[in-house]
Amino acid sequence: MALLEIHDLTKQFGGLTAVDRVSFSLDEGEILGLIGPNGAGKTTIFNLITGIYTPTYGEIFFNGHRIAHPPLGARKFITPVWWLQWVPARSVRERWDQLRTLRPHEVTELGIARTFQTIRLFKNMTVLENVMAGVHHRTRAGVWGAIFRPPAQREEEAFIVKEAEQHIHFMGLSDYRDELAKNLPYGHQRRLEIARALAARPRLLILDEPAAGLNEQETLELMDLIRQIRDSGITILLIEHDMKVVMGICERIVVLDYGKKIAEGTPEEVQRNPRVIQAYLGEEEV
Amino acid sequence: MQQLLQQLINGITIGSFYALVALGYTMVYGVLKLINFAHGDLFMWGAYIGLTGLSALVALMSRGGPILILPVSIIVIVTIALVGVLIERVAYRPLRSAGRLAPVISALGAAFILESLARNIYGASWKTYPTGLVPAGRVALVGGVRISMMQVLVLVVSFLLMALLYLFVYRTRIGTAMRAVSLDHEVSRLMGIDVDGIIATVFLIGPGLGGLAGMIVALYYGSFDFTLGWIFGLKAFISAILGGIGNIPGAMLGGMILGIIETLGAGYVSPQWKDVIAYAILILILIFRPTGLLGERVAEKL
Amino acid sequence: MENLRARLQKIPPLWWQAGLLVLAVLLPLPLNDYYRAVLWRTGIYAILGLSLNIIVGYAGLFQLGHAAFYALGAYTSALLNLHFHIPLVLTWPISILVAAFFGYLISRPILHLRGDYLCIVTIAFGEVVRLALVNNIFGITGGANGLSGIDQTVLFGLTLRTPLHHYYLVLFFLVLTLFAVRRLENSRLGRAWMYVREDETAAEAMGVDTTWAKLLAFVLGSGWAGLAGALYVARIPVVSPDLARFIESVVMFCIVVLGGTGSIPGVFVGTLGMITLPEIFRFLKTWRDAWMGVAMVAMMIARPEGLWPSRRIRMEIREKE
Repeated sequence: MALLEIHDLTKQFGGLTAVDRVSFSLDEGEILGLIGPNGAGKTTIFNLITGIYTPTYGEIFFNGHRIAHPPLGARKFITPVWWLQWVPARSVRERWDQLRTLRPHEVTELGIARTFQTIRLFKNMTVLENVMAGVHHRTRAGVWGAIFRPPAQREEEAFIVKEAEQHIHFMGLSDYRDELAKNLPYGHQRRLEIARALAARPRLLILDEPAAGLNEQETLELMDLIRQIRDSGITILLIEHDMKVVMGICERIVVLDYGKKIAEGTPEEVQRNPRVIQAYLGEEEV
Repeated sequence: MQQLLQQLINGITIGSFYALVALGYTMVYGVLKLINFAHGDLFMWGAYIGLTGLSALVALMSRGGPILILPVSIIVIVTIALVGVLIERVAYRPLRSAGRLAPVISALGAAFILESLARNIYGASWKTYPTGLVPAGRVALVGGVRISMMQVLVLVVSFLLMALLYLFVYRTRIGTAMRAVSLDHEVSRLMGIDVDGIIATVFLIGPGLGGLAGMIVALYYGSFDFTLGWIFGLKAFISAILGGIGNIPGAMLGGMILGIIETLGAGYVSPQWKDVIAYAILILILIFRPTGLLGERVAEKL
Repeated sequence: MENLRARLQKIPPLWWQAGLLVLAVLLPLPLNDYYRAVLWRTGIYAILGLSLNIIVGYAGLFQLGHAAFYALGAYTSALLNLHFHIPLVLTWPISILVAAFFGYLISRPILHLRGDYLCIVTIAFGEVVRLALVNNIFGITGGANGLSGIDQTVLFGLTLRTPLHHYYLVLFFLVLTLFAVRRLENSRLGRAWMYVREDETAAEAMGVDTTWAKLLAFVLGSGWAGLAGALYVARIPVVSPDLARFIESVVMFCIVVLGGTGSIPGVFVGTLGMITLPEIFRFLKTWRDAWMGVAMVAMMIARPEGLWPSRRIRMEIREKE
C-alpha cells in the first residue's frame, strides 16, 4: 500500500477549478517531484494534503487513513455521527474522522510536515524557538505543567530543546542557534524551515519550492541534503521549478498543467513526453 | 395587520436613520479597513450643532419654521465633515502602516475626546430642540395606517440622500476612484489616483452624512442626550456589518433590516430586550456570515 | 546614562523582584485610607491587566469585552453570598470557574474570526452580558441598581475591614498571578501562543492546535478576570452592571496596549497610567475622559507598541513601518 494516495482530487474556488481530478500515489522512501507551470495547482495540492483546504471532490489517503474528504454539506444533518461528533468514544472519533478533512495540525500529528513557497518562519523568534515549534506536537504539557513544572514537564522541556538542537545541527545551523530568524541570510532561512519541519519527525516531508532563490552552490547542497533526509527514512514530495534539482534527485515526476495531471513517470520519460514539452519545458535544455 | 404595517413604517423610518449613519462606517472601512469608533460621536455632534444652530436662528428670527432647517443643515454638514477630516488627519493618517491594533485604540481615543467635549460643553442633561420646526400632522394611508408628516419628510430626505450617494459612488469618477482605493491602495496610486485625497473625501462625505442624520434624528425625536452617539453608533455599525462592511448598498439594506427587525421586536416581544436583539443579530452574523448579506467572500491566497 | 543602565541590568532579577515586593508591602503604611484604596484599585486592575495580557498580548486576540468576565466573577460571588450565605472566601474558586466557563462558551464560536471581526464580536458579547445584568435576567441580578448587602470578607477568622487589609489580600493574589503568568510565558503553552500570534497558518501546519491555544488563552484570561471580580466584591458590598461597561473593557485594553503589549512590566506601567495617575489627577474631573482619549491617540502615534512592550512585540510592530 502506498504511503500517500490521492484519488480524483478536485478543488474549485467559485468558478475556478484549481485542481482537476488529479490522482497519483507515493510509495514509502520515494522522492516524487510535482512540476508544472505557475498556477498549475501544485501548491493547492499541497494545501489540500495538509488540510488547509478541503477538497471539492476526491479523497486523500495517508498511511491507510483518509485525511481529506469533501465537505458533507447538507448531508451532514442526516449523518448520525455528525450529531455525535463530540462524544469522546473512540469508535465515534474514528467514524467522524472518516467523514471530514483533518485539520492541519492533525495531519502533522499523523506524520506529514511541510515547508512553504514563501518562507513562513516565525520571524521575531530565534532559530531555536522556531525549530522547537516542530517538536510541539510530540509533547503534551499544558496549563498545569506550565505553572507547576512537575518533573515530567521539566524533562519534556529538556527533551524539546535537545531535539531542536539536534535538528539545527543536522541542517548546519548550530552557529545561529540564538539568532533571530529574520536576521538569517536567505539560504539559511530556507534551511531553518526544513529543520523546523524535520523536528516534527514526519514520515512524509513536503517541500514547496525549496530551491527558490538559492544560488548554484546552495542548490547543490540542498540536493545532497534532500537525499540524506530520504536516506534517513523520510519520504519526500516536492514542488520545484529548478529543473536541475527535479531531474537530479526525483525518482518519479508528476506533471500538472491547468490543474490536470498531464504526465507521470521517471525523469527521462517525462522529459521526452511531448505534452510536457509543449506545456512547460519548451525549448529548455535540461 | 394594521398594527403590523404601522410598525413597518416606523421600522423603515428608524432603518433609514441607521442606514445614513451606517454609510459613514462602511465607507471609511472600505477605504481604510478601519472601524471608525468615533463615527457615532460625530453623529451625536451633528445633533448638538443642529441644536445650537437652530436655537440661535430661532432666537434671531424670533420665530420658528421648517425653513430654518435648510441653512442649519448646511452648517451641520460642513462642520461635522470638517471635524471628520481633522480626525482622519490627526488620528488615523499617521497610523496607516502601524498594523491593526494601533488605529483601533486611536479611534477609541478620538471617540472619548468627542464624547467628553460634548459632555463638558453642553452638559449631561437632555436637550430639546425648539418646537414648531417640523411639520405636524399625519397622513392617512390605506387600511387605517397613518404616517406622520415628519416621517414622510424623513423618508423622502433619507432616500434622496442615499440615492445621491449611490449615484455618486457608482456613476462618477471620484466614486470609482473611491471603490478602487477600497480595493487596493498601492495599485490605485499607480493608476494615478490621489489616495490621500480620496480618503479625505470619504471622511467629508461619511461624517457629513452622519452629522446630518444626527440633526434629523434629534428633530424627529425632539430631544436627546449625549448617549445618543453610543447607542445609535452601535446600531448603525451593526447595520453596516449586517449588510456587509465596505459595501454601500449593503449599509443601506442593513440599516433597513435592522430598523424593521428592531421595531417589530420591540412591538411584539419586549422593548427592554430591543438592544439585545440587535446584538444577537450582530453575533450571529459574525459567526455564520461575517462578510454580511451583500459582502463578497474573499479567499486568502496562501 | 548607558553606564547606569548597564549596571542596573547586572543586578539579578531576583533582587529586583524582592525589592519591589518589599516596596509594595511597605508602600501603603504611611498613606491615608484614601490612597490605600487607590493602591487597592491599582492591584485589582493589575490583575485584570495581566489576565487580559494573556489574551491580547500573548495569543494576539482582540478582546474588547473583558469587563464582562470581571462582572460575572463579581456577581457570582455576590449571589452565592446573598442567597446561600456562603462565606465570601469560599465563593472565590466558584467565581473563577464561572467566569472561565463563560469564557469558554463565548470564545468557542468566535475564535476563527479575523482581528477586526473578533474585536466587534467581543464588544457585542460584553454588552449582551451587561444588558442581561441590567434587565435582571432570571430575576436574580437585581437590575440596573445591582445587588447590595454583601457580607464582609472573613479570612481565617479575621474580618477584613480596612482598605489596608484588602490591599494586602489583593497583593497576595497579584503576586500569585505574576508567578503563574511568568511561568506560562516560558512554557510550551506560552510558546504555542507566540507561534499563533506570529503566523497562525504556519503554527497550525507545524502541529500546533491553534484552536486549543486560543481557547486556553481566553478561558484562562476570563477566569482570572473572574477572580479580580471576586476580590472586588470582597471589599465593596455592592455590585452593579456598571462593572461590565464597555469603557471598563476599554480601560483594561488600554492598560495592556498602552503600557506595553505582551509584557508584564508593561501591564504595571499601564495600570499606573490608566488607574493610579487619574486618581491623583482627580481635579481634572469631567475632562478626564477627554485627556484619556488624547493620551490614547498620542501614544499610538508616538509609540504604538506601548511604553514598555515585550521585546518581541516591539520588533513586530516596528517591522511593519
